Amino acid sequence: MAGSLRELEHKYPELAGWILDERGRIRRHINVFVNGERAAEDTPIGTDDRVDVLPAISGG
Amino acid sequence: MTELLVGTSKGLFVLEGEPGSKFELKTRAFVGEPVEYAMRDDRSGRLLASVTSPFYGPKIFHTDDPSGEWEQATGVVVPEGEDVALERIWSIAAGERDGALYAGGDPGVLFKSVDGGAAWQLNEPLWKHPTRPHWQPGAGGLCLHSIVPWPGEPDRLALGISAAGVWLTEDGGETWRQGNEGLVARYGPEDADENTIALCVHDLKRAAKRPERMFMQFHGGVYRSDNGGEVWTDISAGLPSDFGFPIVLDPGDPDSAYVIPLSEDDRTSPGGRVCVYETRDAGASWTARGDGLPDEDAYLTVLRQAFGRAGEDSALELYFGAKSGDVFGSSDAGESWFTASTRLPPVLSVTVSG
Repeated sequence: MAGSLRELEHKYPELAGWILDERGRIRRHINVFVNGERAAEDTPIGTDDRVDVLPAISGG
Repeated sequence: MTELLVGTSKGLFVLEGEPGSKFELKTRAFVGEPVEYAMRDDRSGRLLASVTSPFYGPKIFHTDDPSGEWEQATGVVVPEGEDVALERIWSIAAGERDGALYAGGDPGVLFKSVDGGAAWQLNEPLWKHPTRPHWQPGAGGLCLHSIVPWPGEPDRLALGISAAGVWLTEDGGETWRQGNEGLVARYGPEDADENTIALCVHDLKRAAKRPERMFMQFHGGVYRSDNGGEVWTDISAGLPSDFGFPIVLDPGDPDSAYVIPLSEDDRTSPGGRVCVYETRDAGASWTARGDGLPDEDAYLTVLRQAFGRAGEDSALELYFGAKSGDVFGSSDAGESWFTASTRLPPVLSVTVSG
């Protein structure tokens, strides 16, 4: 997952820093899903998988 | 007409008005996002703002028109591959060279821009300083909040880091050394190493007309240095509390300083009385300046970047905001105060331009 998100940043440089921080971690209030299942930096992704990147719903 | 850039926990508020009456809200930006600091670079007219989205992390944005589009600055990152991320940008300050700007942030980082704030570069010597593993964060993080140029000498700079003390350079940031002699960390154990680096500087300013003189609000103590930040002397005698966050100077008077004392117990106005204290004799004595400020049951907290100024001498304008969402102003160097705005979100920073 982390590698794919880095690739995405390289393809779209304006995304850099918005999903992953400098450590390569997904930002705390960003949620990433693979085929509808909550995923993490080390979640494997296959060629036909669907990845959704969503900010958390929050208030306050 | 005076312009206030008020950074709040829910966005940037640009206020305009004539001193003495309530200011008008001209525009908002970054609605809902914490804006830690915003400033107008008087040389270019450009506005810069540091914004830490809880979702997307810290960024610097710039614009020539705050009601229009803001552009994200580049380079505001720490190196990848280390187990550290940029947490927040605390401060932005104009450098001495044309187009030069500095930004300071958490974790104890300094960035420089030479193009007016569009592109930034990390100061590597401070990032790689051998003492860094011993730096400890204060309650607000490991924040580099004070960036103090030396008028007319662009390679000289002083920094304040909470809680890693004062740092000085004379070679444009190639090398850094500490300037902490005389500072007393009352919050540490009695037998603590007197050479401790864990020094919680709250704010640092330089007297424009006597640049070797600096004033500091410390975490318990107000200090003055007359040798460019090498040695510090406590000047807090006469204040109701020596705890507080911001300190502001009148650039026309190198003997002047203004502080807003807070109770050390709860970080609010002592006794529920909001009051600014002024010295005009380099800290030998302090005068209460509270005419027009809430003086009963007002427990306000004024944060480190929330006290700004414009002008000098008798035309000195002072403005401060509180976590209560109130902004107070004075157009007579603190003699009297008025309410510039009220019921804003919690105020994180106030800067002033004419």
